[in-house]
Amino acid sequence: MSNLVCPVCGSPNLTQHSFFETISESLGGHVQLEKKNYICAECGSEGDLFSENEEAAEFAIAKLREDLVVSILEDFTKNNVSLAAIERALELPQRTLTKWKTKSSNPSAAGVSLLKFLKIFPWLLEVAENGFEYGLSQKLYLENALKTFMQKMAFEESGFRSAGVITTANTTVLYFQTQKNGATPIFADERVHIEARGV
Amino acid sequence: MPKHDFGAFLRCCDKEPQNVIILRQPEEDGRSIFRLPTKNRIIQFIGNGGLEQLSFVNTEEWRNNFDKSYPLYVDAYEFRTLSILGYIALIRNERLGTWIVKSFHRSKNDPSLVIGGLLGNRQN
Ligand SMILES: [Zn+2]
Repeated sequence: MSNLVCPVCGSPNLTQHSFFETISESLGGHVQLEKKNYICAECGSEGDLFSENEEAAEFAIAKLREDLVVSILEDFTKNNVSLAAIERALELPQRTLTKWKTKSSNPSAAGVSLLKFLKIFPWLLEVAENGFEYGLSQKLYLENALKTFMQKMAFEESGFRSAGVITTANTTVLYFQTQKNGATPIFADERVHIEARGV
Repeated sequence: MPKHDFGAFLRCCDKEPQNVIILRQPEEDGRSIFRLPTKNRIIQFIGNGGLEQLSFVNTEEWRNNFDKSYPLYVDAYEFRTLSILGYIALIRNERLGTWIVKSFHRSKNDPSLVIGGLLGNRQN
C-alpha cells in the first residue's frame, strides 16, 4: 500500500479490508465472493479503488450463468421437451444447446437471456415454432395468460363479484362464478368460468 | 451550471476507464438497481451513452475533502434508462486525473419510489 493514494482526495492514508459479498444470478443461484476494498482515512471514500475484485467477480458471474444454463436445459428435458426440438424452433444449429449443457461451449449473454425468457414463458417456443406469426402469437399469449389467471387466482367470495362483463372494442368477456353441486371446491379455478365472445 | 465537462467524463469512461472510480455504494446500487454487476460494466454502460435524457440537478462543494486548499465539487444529474429515472453524482479530481462516481441510484423523483422521501432521497 506504500505508494497508493486515494484516487478521490489524494491522501496516502488508506487501509484495506476484506468482506464477503453475495453475487446472485437472476433465476439462478448465488455465491459468496471475498472482496478487498480500501477505505480512505481522510475523506472516508470506500470501494475497490484499484479494481482488484473485477476479475473474480466476472469469473463468479460466468460460473453462476453456466450452472443456470444447465439447470434450465435440464428442466426442459425433464419435461419431455428435447433440446433438438428447441434448437429446431429457435433455428439454432443442432447440438448448440447440448454443448451449452455439457459446458463444452458457453452461450453469449444474449443466449442466456433467451433461455431465461423460455424458462419464464415456455410457450414462447410455440411462438417461435410458428414463425413468430403475429396473430397466432397474440392468441398463444392470451391463452396462456388466461390459463395462469384461472390456475393461480384465489378468488375470494367477498372481494370478487359473482358475475361481470369486460368489454373492449372487439371482444366481450363474460365471467361468472359457480359452486359445483354445493361441494366445497378443491381448487380455486373450479369456481370461475370465463367465456370470450368476439363481437 | 455543472462544474465539470460531462462530455469529458463520458470520453473517459469510453477511452480511459481506469481513471473512473466507482465507490462501494454506487457499485452495490449498480448491481441491485441497474443490473450492472461489476464496476467495469457500469463504466461501459455510461461510456456507451446509457445515461439518456441527462438533466443537470446541482453542483456542491464536496464536504469530505480533507485538502481545503484544493476544493472538489460534486455535479449531480438525473437520467433516464428504460423505466428507471436515475441519479448520478460525480467528482472530478483534476490533479489526479480521476472521475469519481459517488452516487448512482434511482432518483427520488422516480415515480416507482412511492416512499421516495424515505428510501430514494439518498442524494449524498
Ligand atoms: Zn480520500
